[in-house]
Amino acid sequence: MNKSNRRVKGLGEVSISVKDLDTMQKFYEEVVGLEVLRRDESFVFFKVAEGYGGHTQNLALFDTTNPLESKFPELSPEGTTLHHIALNVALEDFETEKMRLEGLGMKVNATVHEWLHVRSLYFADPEGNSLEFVAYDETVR
Amino acid sequence: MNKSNQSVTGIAEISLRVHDLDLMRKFYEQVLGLEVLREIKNSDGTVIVVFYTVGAGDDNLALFDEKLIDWFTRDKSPQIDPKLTTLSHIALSIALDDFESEKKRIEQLGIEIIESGTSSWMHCRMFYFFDPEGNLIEFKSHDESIQ
Repeated sequence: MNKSNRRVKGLGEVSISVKDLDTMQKFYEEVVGLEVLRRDESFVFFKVAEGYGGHTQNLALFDTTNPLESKFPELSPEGTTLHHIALNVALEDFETEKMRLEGLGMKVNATVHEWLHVRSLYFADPEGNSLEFVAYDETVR
Repeated sequence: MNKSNQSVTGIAEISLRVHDLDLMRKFYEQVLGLEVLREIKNSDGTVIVVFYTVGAGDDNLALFDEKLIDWFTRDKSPQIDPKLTTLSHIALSIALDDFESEKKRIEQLGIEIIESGTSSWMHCRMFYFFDPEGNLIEFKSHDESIQ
């Protein structure tokens, strides 16, 4: 794949699994100095910067009671602090990337997140880390 | 802290601890199509870290061989079993102008700066600290004077 047609456009989000959401939120707000984008019962999103194509670049903390489904027993949700990494793709590449990944024999889970106005593809790397291809889509409400 | 004085300007890098670097490289290069920025080699010539460019900006993703485990955990992160977590560290960008003041601010909050350093090939300076659950956080500034 040469440089001109690389599909990954940027780091969209890094999410870590946390045990104590309140303590960790306080640290990331007050020590790291990030702006809270959204706080929910089991997660908090911080806006780090403007991102690719209308998306924001986020750091998220997820309560460990809210792990992504993992098919990788070697990576227990209790053991790893990496929840997932989201990489930006262009909306026009979204369907072709989904087909390409599926064509490589990977299990791909497609979903939308209304409040972020994004479409997402979830899949795993060979050592079980959860990856997300995320495309900003204004029509997702 | 309000929005106007947020010092962090972006996620500079996410680094993963990997078990099988060759296998993982193949995936990140061929499946995700990431471009290799730099390989770091051991004294015996084996590649132990691979940095990738992510997109057109300055975002990086890096794969750290688990042999480097001591580098990012030492004995300072007792909450996290390094064999179980795949997160090596997260680097956040800050302006060079804010570098010393942020370091001082964080130290004054009673948080230990566990390492400070520079990287000649990345032309940057950085310092590291742990969050309350033992994740390693890096604050990093681009500095052209570091060559």
